[in-house]
Amino acid sequence: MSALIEFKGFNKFFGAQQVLDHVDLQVRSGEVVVILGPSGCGKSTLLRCLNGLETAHSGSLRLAGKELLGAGTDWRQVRQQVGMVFQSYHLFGHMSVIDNLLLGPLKVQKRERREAQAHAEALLARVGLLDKRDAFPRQLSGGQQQRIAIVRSLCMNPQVMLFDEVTAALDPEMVKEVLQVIQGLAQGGMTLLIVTHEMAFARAVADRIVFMEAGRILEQRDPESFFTNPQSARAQQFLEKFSFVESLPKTPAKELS
Amino acid sequence: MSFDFAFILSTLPAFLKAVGVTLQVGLIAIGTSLLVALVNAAILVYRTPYLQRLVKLYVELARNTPLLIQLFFVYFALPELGLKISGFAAALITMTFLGGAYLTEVLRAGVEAVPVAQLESGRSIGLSEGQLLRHVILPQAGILSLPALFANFIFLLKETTVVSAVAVPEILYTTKSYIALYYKTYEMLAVLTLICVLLFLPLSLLLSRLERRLQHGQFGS
Repeated sequence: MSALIEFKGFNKFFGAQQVLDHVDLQVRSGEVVVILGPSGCGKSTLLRCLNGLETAHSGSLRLAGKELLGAGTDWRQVRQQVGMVFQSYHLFGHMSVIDNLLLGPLKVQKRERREAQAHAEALLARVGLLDKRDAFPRQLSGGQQQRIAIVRSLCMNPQVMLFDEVTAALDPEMVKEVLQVIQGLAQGGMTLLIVTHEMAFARAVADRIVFMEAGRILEQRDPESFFTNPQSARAQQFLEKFSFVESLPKTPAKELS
Repeated sequence: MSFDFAFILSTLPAFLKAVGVTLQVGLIAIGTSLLVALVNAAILVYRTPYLQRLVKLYVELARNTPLLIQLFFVYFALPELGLKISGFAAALITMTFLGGAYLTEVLRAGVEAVPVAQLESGRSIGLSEGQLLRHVILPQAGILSLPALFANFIFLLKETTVVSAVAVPEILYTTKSYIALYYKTYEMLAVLTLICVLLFLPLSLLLSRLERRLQHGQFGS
């Protein structure tokens, strides 16, 4: 079976610094891939290259068999198939929720208003926010805004959704409501590429874990074997840092005078 | 010295006309300045080669020379080059020259204040650059520029008094004419001050209310 997304010998530079170094990654349709790695390892850049927010420098990137790194790529077309959700939601502040959701379907896809609106409202109901239809972004909590941002991407009927640290700016209480939405998408068979620091979530939702460091993929395996038995020393070290807090011994009670 | 109310009353029709002239010069200049600024801001925002240097030069030149000198240059120096124009035309040209420069900077700053994240967000749902400009950048830049834009409108209206220097019969020119003819300095300056307060203060208040309402409507809350 051919891959839906295929990076091959993929390189990306910021100035002289190489941020992606010969990345080879294949994602099949319906697969949930979680990308882990320390800050600055290039995982966000990888996602941004996939919908053209960053331009790649060499190698090959295919979406559904079509090469994207040529000159003739219509990124507007690609972006309709590849939804992206950002860390800080980035809803359009001057528009109500429903207008945020309908901008793409009406202006980009030229769909009929009634159909697009029914679609948007159904998705809003699915994330439990139909009552916020006419609210403005700044009247909503971070978790609510992020769920709306996910719906905004879903309204375009994408084949793939990219999540770039979408819970990193949220309170712990709101993380849950956003992760539940993503989990719902995973169970529904949507192809997902997720960059996150929520290890337990990664383990629960991923079909495959991709571990990156310094622009390279060091290993990619199923979550159980990655978390219980990471192969590379760097991944072991990375996971140890995350388990450090969880396994922190309780500080003995001190005598307070 | 007594305060001559009867004389003041007799001058009111002339002042009413003068207020009309002030508003005419001011409002037309605001409109033309905005047009100039829109074109210039677009050139700056899109970094149009060569033209953007020209615009920057114009902005610096206009902002760093006094309005009165610009006005004299247009009205007295240009005729020497064979370009003779009326005081009213000279007033509009000069006010537009100055206002265009100030508003260019206001609009450019407004566009640049729209966070890059908003642009990426728009692109990520497939908006074209034109759609991005129309549905995301301009509405947000407009709201962000409003306070500075309105402040500059008031500034331009007030600066119209400078064009009294080339015999445009606006409020200051009318005041000076009466003083020269009747020596009623005290009365006339009092009338002028009162007119300014009655004219500009309500406008200021109106614009700040409008600003609040627009921002409320646009960002909801």
